[in-house]
Amino acid sequence: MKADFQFTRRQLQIFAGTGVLITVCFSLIFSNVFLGSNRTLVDRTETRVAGVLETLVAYERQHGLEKLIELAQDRKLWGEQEDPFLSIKHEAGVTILHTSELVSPQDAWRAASQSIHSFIVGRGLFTRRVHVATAPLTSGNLLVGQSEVGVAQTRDMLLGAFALLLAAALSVAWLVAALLSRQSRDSVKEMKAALFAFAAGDVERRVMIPSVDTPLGDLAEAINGSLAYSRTLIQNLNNTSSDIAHNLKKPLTRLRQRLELASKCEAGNPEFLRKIDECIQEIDSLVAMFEALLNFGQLQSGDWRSRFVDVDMPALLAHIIDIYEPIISDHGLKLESSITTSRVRPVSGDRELLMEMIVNFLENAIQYCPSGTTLRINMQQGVDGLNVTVSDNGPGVPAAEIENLFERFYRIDVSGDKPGHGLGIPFAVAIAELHGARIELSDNKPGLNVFIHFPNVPDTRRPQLGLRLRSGYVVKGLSRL
Amino acid sequence: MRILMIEDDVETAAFVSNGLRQAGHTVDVVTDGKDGVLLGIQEDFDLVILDRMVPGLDGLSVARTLRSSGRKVAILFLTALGGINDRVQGLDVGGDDYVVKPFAFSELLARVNALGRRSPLRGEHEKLTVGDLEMDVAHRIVTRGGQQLNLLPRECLLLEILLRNKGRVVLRTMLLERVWGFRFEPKTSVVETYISRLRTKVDKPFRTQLIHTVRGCGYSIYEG
Repeated sequence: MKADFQFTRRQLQIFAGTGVLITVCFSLIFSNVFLGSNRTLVDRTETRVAGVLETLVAYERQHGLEKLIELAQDRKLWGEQEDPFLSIKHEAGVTILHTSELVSPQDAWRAASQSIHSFIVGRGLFTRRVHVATAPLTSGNLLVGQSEVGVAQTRDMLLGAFALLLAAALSVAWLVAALLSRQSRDSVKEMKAALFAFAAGDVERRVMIPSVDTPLGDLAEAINGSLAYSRTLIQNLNNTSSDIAHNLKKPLTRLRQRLELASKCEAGNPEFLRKIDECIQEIDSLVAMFEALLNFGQLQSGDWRSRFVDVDMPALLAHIIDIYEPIISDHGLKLESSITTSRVRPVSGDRELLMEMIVNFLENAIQYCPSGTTLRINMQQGVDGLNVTVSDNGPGVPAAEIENLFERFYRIDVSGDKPGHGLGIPFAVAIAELHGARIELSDNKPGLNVFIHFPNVPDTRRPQLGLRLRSGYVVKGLSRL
Repeated sequence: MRILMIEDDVETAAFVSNGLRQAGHTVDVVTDGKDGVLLGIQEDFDLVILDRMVPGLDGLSVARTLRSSGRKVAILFLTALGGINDRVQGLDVGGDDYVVKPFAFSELLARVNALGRRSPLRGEHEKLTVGDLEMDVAHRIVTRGGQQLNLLPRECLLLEILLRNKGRVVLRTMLLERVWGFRFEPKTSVVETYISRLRTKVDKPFRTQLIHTVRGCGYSIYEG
């Protein structure tokens, strides 16, 4: 089973291009915001540190070191992570107070001794930059430090949000591409199915229009337009046929009736009766040919498929062989058959039509083969369907003429001493088409080989298109479908 | 038989009704589909001969209405619509037989007669006879002059159909439909071959011929 959707090369290119574009845009926006916020953050933190330091230095000058230490130890003032921390060093270099648990006094004082007055705490995404500033007190030194905690959290959230947005945007792009590709694949599949259904006789079938204002939508509309037009043509053709049936047959019926009546009036005149009989035979032959032509249209316009039943092909062939054995032996011919009966799938079809199709080929062989010829009827269940062959080792048909056999009114025997109108094989092919079967005629070396293939799966049925116009004319290239 | 003919072509109606009357049937003719339905429902006919393209109400609808009215009447279509699809439609709506115009009157008459003798009860010991020929239908045993004949199943079926229509013409086309299941005219002499084989067994060893050819039409079985 194939995946339900697959990207074409073009769609993959579009998808990759969009992805790269989105990623670059997001990176630009993100770096801009991030760098900007970082700058503000440094400025703000430094200002704050400087402010606090100034205040505390002034406080110590006024109230003394003891009071400053008291103030520094007040948890209410410095307890939160957001708050600055203090560190006081005695003149001798001993730290007498340090309020931060996050930052060690060594790190803080080392940073303070450097020009940048800042350092990094933590790891990975959760690093914090800590800014410090120092000022001399009346005795000792004061350090004020401040981490970027609050703003950094915002920055982290922003980072996360951007990452999520980027992921979401990329998945949306992928989904859209996938849906588009699936939609177009489905539409193409649908169009193909509709066209084949139409060709197979479902003249009301139309293509679903996927969406307007897309190339596929335009194509679907064009297809539907053509199908509607074709349907009108087929209908006109059928109407014409039934009009002819009505209007042409009325005088023919009267003509035949008058001839019959005339023959009754002249019952004692054998020469006259013979002539009348010949006239009647001509009328009957004319009507038979006319009916045969009408039947092509009726095979396609009728609702035959709804009447289909499971036909047991081995039984049908056995029936035909049973009927024709005496006729074949009367013609001085031999019949051999090899029919598989185990694990044979039934053919969905109309039993009488299938019989007519096979009988047609068998009777052709009986008519055209000289006495002594061997006829063969074979049937096997292949992997992809049922194969029936009717072959002989008689004179055969020249290779150049085999294709002509599919043409209506084509006759090998131009002398006309064999009955028929040259409609037998075209009609058999039309019956095969109705059943989704395929007929191949080939050189049996010597003789003619008729191969009829009934595919297992109706969906893989390939109508021998063009039958409506020129029977049996196989459209080349369709085999790919 | 009492026959109702629904046919708008006056000439055809006259041709058929005269012929049928000569053959001993009673025929009423109407030219309109609606009139035909009304008459067909009111009166007790054995057979309706129906054109498919008549004014008022088309033949298929006439047949459908007659069938749904519950009247046990045989319906024979006599129509110019002779395609395979048309025939199927005709039999689908409950037609018993289908004759296509132009037609030979002998064919129509044979089919009309066949419809008149529909559905005889097939008893277990049903025996069909003509002259000294006897057929035990249930056991497929055929004897002539007390001598058992060895018939193949299809020959037996052929003989049975001839016997059931003893003294009347059985059309080639009727035999093709019933014995071989062919809805088409074969190019080879299927019927002739089988009749000839049957004759070899049934007639040839005996002095009198029972199976007769009706020229250009069909066969009939009778004595003398």
